[in-house]
Amino acid sequence: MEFNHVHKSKKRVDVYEKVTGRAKYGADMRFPDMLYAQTLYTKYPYAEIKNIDLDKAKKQTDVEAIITAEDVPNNKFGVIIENQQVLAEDKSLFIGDGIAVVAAKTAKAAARAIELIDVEYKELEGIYDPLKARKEGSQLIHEENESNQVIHHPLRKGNIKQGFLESDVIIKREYDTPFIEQSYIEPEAVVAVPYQENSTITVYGSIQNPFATQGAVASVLKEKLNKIRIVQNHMGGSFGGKDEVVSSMAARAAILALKTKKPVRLVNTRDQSIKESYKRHPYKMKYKIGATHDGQLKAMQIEAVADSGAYACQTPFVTWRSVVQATGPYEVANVKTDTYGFYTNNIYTGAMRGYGSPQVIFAQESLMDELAEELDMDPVELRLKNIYHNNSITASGQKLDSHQVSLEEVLTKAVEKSDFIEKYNRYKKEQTGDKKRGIGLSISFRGCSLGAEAIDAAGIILSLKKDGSVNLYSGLAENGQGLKTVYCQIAGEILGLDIDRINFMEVDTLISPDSGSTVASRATLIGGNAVKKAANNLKNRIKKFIAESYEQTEDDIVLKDGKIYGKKSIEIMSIAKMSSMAAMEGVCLTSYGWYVSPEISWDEEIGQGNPYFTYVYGCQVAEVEVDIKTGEINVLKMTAAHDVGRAINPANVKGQIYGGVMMGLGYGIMEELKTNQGYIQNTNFDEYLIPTVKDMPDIDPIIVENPDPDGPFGAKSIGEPTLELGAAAIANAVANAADKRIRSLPINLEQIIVGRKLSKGGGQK
Amino acid sequence: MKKQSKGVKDRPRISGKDFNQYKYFRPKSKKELIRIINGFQEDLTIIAGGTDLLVANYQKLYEIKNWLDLNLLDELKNIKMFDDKVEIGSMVTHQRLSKLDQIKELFPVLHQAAADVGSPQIRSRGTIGGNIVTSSPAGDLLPPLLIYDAKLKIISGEGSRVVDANEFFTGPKKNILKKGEILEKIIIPLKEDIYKGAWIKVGKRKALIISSISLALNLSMDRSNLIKKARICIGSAAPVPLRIKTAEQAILKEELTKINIEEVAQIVSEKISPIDDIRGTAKYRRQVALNITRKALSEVMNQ
Ligand SMILES: Cc1cc2nc3c(=O)[nH]c(=O)nc-3n(C[C@H](O)[C@H](O)[C@H](O)COP(=O)(O)OP(=O)(O)OC[C@H]3O[C@@H](n4cnc5c(N)ncnc54)[C@H](O)[C@@H]3O)c2cc1C
Repeated sequence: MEFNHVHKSKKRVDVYEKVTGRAKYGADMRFPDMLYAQTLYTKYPYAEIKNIDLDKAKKQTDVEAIITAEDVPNNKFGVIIENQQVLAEDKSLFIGDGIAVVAAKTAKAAARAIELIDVEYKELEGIYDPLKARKEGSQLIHEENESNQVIHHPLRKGNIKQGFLESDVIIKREYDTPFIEQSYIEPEAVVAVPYQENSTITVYGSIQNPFATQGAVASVLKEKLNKIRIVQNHMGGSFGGKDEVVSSMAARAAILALKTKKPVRLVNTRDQSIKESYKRHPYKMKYKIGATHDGQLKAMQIEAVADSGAYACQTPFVTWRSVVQATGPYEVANVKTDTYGFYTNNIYTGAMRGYGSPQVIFAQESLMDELAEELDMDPVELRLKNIYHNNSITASGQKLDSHQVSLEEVLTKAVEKSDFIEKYNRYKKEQTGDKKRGIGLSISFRGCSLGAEAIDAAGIILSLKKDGSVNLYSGLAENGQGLKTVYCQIAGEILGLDIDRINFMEVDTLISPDSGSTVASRATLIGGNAVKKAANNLKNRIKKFIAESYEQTEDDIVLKDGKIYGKKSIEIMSIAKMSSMAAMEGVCLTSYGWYVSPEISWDEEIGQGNPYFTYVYGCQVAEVEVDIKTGEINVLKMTAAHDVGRAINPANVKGQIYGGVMMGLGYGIMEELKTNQGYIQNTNFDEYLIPTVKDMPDIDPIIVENPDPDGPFGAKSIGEPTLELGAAAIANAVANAADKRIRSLPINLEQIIVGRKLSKGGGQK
Repeated sequence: MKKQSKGVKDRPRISGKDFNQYKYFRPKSKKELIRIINGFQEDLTIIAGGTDLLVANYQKLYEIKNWLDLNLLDELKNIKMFDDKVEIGSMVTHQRLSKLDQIKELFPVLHQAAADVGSPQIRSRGTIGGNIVTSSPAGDLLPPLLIYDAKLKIISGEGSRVVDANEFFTGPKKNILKKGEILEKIIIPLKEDIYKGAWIKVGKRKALIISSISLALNLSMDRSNLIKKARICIGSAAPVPLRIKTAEQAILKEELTKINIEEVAQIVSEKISPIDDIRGTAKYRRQVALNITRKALSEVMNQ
């Protein structure tokens, strides 16, 4: 198929404003009389709040208002379970809980006032280990519940006992992963403006999901949705991280704005951001796998326990994705998987790029290599024997028959391009010197979009102007991933317009169609289909108008290069001219596209059904050099093969691969938010280490394209798959290099030399 | 040596308005500097590159009252070569130390350590003087200075004194500097010996990283190729950068190829007193001290 605008590495439409500094971010917003707010956080992770004395703080000059939980109309919110406190009421449940928020004329005055608030606490003994929280009879973090369990997702397939009976080899392993910070470069920022136009409150800011924030603010303020307006500014990154924490900040700022009748700005420092924003879930996983001598997988039994921290947040859905993907992309007849989330007094956990998959992939892809070793088989061969193909049946009983199952293709391409087999065998032999090389791989299948989490639909409005230019209003948001460009390309392809004629408007809940959240690598797939629909609706109206006015048949009419062509490809007129004529004739030039994803199903009791309507497949290969005398790991090269359906913008796809590989590398060898009894020990980037440009390996991206029947021009997902594979591939490479299997992330110097971590995330002292 | 890009020169100077209740001094000469120290009674905070100071006072810079900025003191930015010594002004940046050929030739360990500091941004602002006065056990230039027997010239209103770098550090972020004293320069003696040296920095990533442990080694050989003087110093594994004198003694007068590497490594690993912190456990540091001592000694053997 020939394309003019999609399938091309077009320059990003938002690049100019970003590199020139013209782009406005949340913290850049300024309004007359704007006040500066600051939050006072709890002193103890778990404590009773006996008294809050605001007197001294209120008397400070320039202080205009102070709020505590008492001032919050409805103090508990949440997308799935409403139990997150906007401000701590009777108790603080984790170290980032807010106690009070001050609004003052200057930031300095707000900071000073914060220091003058006297809080009387009664420190309580908390629970900081999900396995402890799980124990029957342990004290309840949320007293209204019967236990500390947030959720349990079971999955049952076949007969697990029989499966292990039929196995010749059975191995059992335990793996664990730490808390991870999303590490967006721009800390959270919101400005709430009261009574702007017809809205009670308007919130501007670094908001990943404007509709989720709208819902949260409306519920907290007990106000109607149509009175709450959220406008998204440019985002300095999010990676799943600017949802609930920003909603909570938006609600706090909104309450202060209504109280003072002035705009209120609430912007976090990095320390505040790390302390109050939710993290990626730490998992403790137990895997048991059985196979025949020749490598046929027979049974898999999995238990994964996630630390939800103080609130439910996204735990029910994060652990649901884990239950679907926990076995990896392998056909296993007998499966018993249980994933759980438990409340603790740790920092709460929520969405982060990958969303419940990087943890289980680290475990299951490490396990496959361990099994291969046990069977004396090479890791590629073992995988090839068991991977999904067309019409395979997944662990949840879904038959993969709607799209090309390209696992073998991505695996083979990555293996060949990286020279895996030759290197794997060479590195396995005794190596001289302190620096040992190793190579490892991992593969995955990943459900695209929300799946059975929620209704999956999105809308787009296209408005063709009289000069042939177009405004595009989307409910899904640019979070830095390149969405604006991709949508402009899809609309441009159908309307025959250059992308510079299409203007993607910032998401504004006043106009944009509620399309759910920009999460789950769903925006190109779901929103892209909506763009296609809206553009086709508009195109059909144009065709009809031209056919009627110029004695053409609609079938002959083609929109291309900004022009309209008719019978025998004769140019009729420019789209610009047509637009002004059609407008004068009263043709509606605004169109709506609404896309609802194909049907899916899920039986929560047994974990069976068709959880996602399509999947993507990926394989990453890591080549490393381990200094066995210092423990230093040098990741030399990552080869990443990903099936994206169709690359709407190949340069963008590569960008996602480079970025995701780097985040996966950080997850693999250095990132770890350290906690001790609920206190966070590394609250800034001097001690919370993420990879620098010097740590960046050579990255070889391989884009695999098998257009999906349900994707716009065949496109599927790329954002999250790129991150979920790296840690597992690196773990396998380290094992190949140093003959040392490390089952606990991050695989840092300590672990290579002394085989343990400085402190376990979430563990006891 | 002075190369200032246009952008830097054109930047607006700090204006007196920002400091209306307090003082901001920027002396242009040593004379003026001494006059300020002598004439000003209140607390003065000295700022060089600011890369430690600004981080330590993050979000509470306003608490610093009176400033003494050394950045216009060109005299402190000199590197002077003499027959028997090299003098490095305290305001010399890591960037210059890591780029100068003379430094590379004469003090390769110092040169390499300077190149390992932070990132280009940090190296181009951070100074050797700031590194010394901060006195962090993890300061990367400190082990190299100790193995080269550096001396520090300290000036004050009352005069000046010269101390051994090895006597300067008294604990984590603690040193012998008194109120009103300023580190003027670092003096490194030169001998006609043949030097063999090694620098190893171990950290959790490849740049912008505080050392988990570091090692500086310098051996000077006499004509008959026996070890005349040995210096081994470990960073980040004790309250101060630590010279391991017993290990140094153990290899004196030995032939390089006959050093008992194991013995030296054991001594080093025993003499340090590492702690558990965010950059590593004591156990890790002891094990790695052993490993990197072996590594450094085999490296010099092959030089
Ligand atoms: C991101 C980052 C990375 C870093 N990486 C490293 C690293 O890898 N290795 C490393 O060793 N360090 C590192 N540092 C620390 C720092 O950059 C160095 O210690 C640097 O040499 C400090 O020099 P400065 O000129 O910036 O000192 P300043 O911050 O200006 O001063 C530091 C202290 O010394 C005092 N002082 C400075 N000069 C004098 C003087 N002449 N006389 C008396 N007192 C004086 C000041 O009052 C202050 O107390 C890093 C810092 C940052 C922010």
